[in-house]
Amino acid sequence: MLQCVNLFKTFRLDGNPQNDKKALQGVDLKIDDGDFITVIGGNGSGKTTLLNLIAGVFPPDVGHLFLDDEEITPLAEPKRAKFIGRVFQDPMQGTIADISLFENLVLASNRAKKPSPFRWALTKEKKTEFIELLKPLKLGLEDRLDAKIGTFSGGQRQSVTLLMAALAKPKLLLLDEHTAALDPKTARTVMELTDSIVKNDRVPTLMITHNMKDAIKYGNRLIMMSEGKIIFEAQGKEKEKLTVEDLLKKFQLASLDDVPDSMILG
Amino acid sequence: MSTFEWQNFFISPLNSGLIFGLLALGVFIAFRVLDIADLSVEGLFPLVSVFSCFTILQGWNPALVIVVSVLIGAASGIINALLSLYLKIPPLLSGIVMMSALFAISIIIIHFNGGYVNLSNVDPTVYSWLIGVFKTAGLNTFWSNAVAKIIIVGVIDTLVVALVYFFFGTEMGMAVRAAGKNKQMARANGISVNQMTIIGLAVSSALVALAATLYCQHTLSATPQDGQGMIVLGLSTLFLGETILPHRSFKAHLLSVFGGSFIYWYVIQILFKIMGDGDYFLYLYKALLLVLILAIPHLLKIAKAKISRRRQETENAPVR
Repeated sequence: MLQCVNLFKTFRLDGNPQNDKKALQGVDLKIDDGDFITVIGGNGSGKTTLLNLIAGVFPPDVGHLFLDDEEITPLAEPKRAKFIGRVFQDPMQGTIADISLFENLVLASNRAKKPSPFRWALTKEKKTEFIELLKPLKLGLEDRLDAKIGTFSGGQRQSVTLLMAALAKPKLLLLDEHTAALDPKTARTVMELTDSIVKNDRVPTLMITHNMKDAIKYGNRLIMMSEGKIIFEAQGKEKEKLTVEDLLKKFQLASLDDVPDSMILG
Repeated sequence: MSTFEWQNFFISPLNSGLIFGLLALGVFIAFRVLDIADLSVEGLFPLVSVFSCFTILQGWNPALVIVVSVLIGAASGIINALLSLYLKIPPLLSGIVMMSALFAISIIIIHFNGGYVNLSNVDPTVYSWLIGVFKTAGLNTFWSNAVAKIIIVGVIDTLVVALVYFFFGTEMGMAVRAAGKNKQMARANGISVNQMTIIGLAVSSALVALAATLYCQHTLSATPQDGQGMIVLGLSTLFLGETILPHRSFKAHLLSVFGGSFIYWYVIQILFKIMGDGDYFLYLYKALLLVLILAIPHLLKIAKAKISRRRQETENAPVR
């Protein structure tokens, strides 16, 4: 369970305080166990800043973060990564191109422990373990363990990143528009994989998406952000009844004129 | 050429190749594994070689000198990393700062010793004992020196390559590689990029220091000028190995560095013979060699593309 309390974050773009970008202006959010929350909002609404604050990329100006009632606000990014899995928008960012799939998976599986200079990392047991893990996914990845990730397609890389994020049984999964850079068909495959991982592992998940249909279709909760605040939230039955038109109306109410076309068309 | 010259022609590059392979391995770790252009090599090398000769003159055991040299190298790498990671000095500049500082210390040591730190033939080096063994066995001075040095440096090289290979296969070594390749991925996977950069630079500089102490005990002399062109040498060796030898896997890449080192020193040796002696031109040759090494793969690529285009044009020529 993750709790965000009164988060504020302002970025100083240049020397002039008038040009400050107020990315978050008081966000409170509680992610319960078993929650799969989709996050939508226009460009610059603070979605990614929220995710980065939770991941620890930078600290909040004001506010606190609690994971299972323990304060994690002062913890640096790599320390939080031990229990928070992440997938980025850019398929190139989540994996290392010029080492093999096996080596990438090994790195991800070791995330919860201190790396030892004496323990050999690439063991046979690990390999068998990964083959068992990859086989049921039917992506053909189990045959390509020794291939360099650089030879994989964007969709495959994103699937691998997703598996890596979930590999060490994280307490929270953060997905930042992780299907946005993929073609529609691949995006669907990756979304299906995401859904099955979240359901099987019952890992609490926060997913940013630009695709309103996905935002409605997946997860049990939906939040909409605008100008650094959560302006609308729906869950359960209420969320299931939502339509893309409903969401667009909400956007217009929030006087958001700059709704990107991709959100409407997607 | 006399017999002696011919023997030297073949043996000397072998010695240099073995010793400077370690330097190239250090440069490889900084440049390829961590993706940092670490220029401190240029100052660390003369410092360690001056320090080694100085301490041997003071009566230190040569083996102890090697151990302390490696520790000095590791410390230099750590300070270099701290400068760039925590004081936010760009890595290129922190390397240059380290280079100047270490170079200055080597000058200070020389100054305190009255201007020079040359060893004589009777001063003990790490090679002395084995040279003595071969001499008593009846080999002449040249061959006892050559064989003893090749064996000792060869054994050290083998151990170092095995250790480095093992290290980069461990959990920590993998983390160092990840931190060098993709910082965002590393952080997202619980790897402290700062810690791993410190460890990586420590290993890299320790290897450079090892090369320096073995080199000055081999030549029996050290001056602050010893570091001149070391970064060019390290990079030339690295690129030469990568251009000529296969380096797809990490193991092959490690070995290609040493292969590159041997090729480099034989090429330099041949250049010397063709161009005639003339130390004045040495660095110029080396710089030209580096340009060639860097340019040839690119030129070959262009040539290949042209040939393949011409072939395809003839194959797919419209039928008249």
